[in-house]
Amino acid sequence: MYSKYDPDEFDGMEKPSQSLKDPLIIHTVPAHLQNSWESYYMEILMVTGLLAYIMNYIIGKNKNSRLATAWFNSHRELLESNFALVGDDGTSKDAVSTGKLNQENEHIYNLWCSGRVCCEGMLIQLKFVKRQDLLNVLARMMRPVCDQVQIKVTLNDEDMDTFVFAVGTKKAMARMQKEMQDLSEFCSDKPKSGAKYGLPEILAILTEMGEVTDGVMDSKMVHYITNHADKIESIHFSDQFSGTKVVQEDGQPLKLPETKKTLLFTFNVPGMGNTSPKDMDTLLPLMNMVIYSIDKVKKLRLNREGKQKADKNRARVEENFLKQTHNQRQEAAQTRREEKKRAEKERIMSEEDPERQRRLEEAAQRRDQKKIEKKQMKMKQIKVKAM
Amino acid sequence: YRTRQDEDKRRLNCYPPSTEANPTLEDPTPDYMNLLGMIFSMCGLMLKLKWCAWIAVYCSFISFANSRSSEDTKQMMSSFMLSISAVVMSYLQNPQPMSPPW
Repeated sequence: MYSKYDPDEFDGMEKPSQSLKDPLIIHTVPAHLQNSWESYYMEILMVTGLLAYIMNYIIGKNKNSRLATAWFNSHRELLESNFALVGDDGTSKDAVSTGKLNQENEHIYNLWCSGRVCCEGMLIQLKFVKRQDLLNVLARMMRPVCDQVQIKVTLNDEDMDTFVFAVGTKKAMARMQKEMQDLSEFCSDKPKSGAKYGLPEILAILTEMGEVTDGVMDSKMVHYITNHADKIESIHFSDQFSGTKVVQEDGQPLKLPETKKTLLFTFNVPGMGNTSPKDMDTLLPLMNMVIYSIDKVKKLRLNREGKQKADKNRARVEENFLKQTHNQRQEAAQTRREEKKRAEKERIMSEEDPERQRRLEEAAQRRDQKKIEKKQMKMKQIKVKAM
Repeated sequence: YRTRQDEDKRRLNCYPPSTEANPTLEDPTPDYMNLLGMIFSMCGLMLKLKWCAWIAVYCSFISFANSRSSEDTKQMMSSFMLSISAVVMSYLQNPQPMSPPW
């Protein structure tokens, strides 16, 4: 092919035949310079995912809102006929009825009711599942969870006698016995089957003493619970309610936790997550049970034996607590005394006038001597009394 | 069971403020997601990793969906803005599409 060219022209140049054997590398055009959106498919996937999340958020939020409204509409009449104040969001200083639910979250709605004899107030929390969070929706496909309605009735001191009692599903009872401060201290026996009192097998009872169960489980309560056993997660009556067990921090002497007379109800909404607004009506009889319980607890009084037992239990718990914290309190007192002594010594050392220093030292010595003498006197008195 | 009007008024108790102490303990999801979102945004911005930036956007969306109404919207907005800026910066610096891990 080089015949038309003069071979002299190519003097000094290497034979080009080698380069013909090297493969031709064709580089691909970088994807962002190609005029096609197809190469951005990962990004399109991401954006589609985000859009799906937003759609689910809107749909979930609306569903929860509709369920809450349905619940409130079906319960409003009963609540307004029993309580003077229905709905208070805590923003105004005066107790004025707002007449609507207080939305804490996209899945939690609160309602505070007050103004009734026998109780201080009632806080109702509608704890729906997180329908607005797509991750949660996917997690619930593996492990279904129920919507729950939690009702907490706080009572005045004169409205309830001293007892601790709980009834609910076996799982809930086992869990609460471990987690709740009052149930673990006062109801130390294993949960008893509800069948003994005419309740379905799936329910168990935790009680401080048999008399309490007999008093609470009258025929009407048994009737309520049996008819709605599938919706009851737990019912907890306690005059020593202080919430779950607090994890102790080292070095901090604990005070006995504050207790409040409380009735706690946890109900499961039927549907296991796939609830419709109509299902909210089925919870109305349970609210009737709550109102009935408030009145019942006011009338329930332990007999003399029961009261003695209850008082003994409470004294025992307090004593145990004091014993446990005794060491901690002693250590704290010891450190305080040492600090005081150190501070005094420093003060004496920092005194510039040697005369004053000597006087302060003598005063400190005299005080220490007096303390030792006092202690010795006390020991002698105790010995004499013991004799 | 309504008593006389004045008895009702005496017994009216306002919404107890103490119940608000527990929400932070009960559900830490929005706080964790917020933190994760910020971490991923910073990784995406500094290490120029596109997938980090995208995950940061998802984290801030999840944090928003789980947030309590008492929480500051400024915090949410700043987390959003940070994650979106991480995505935008990654693409401005390197407009190539993300390559899948497979």
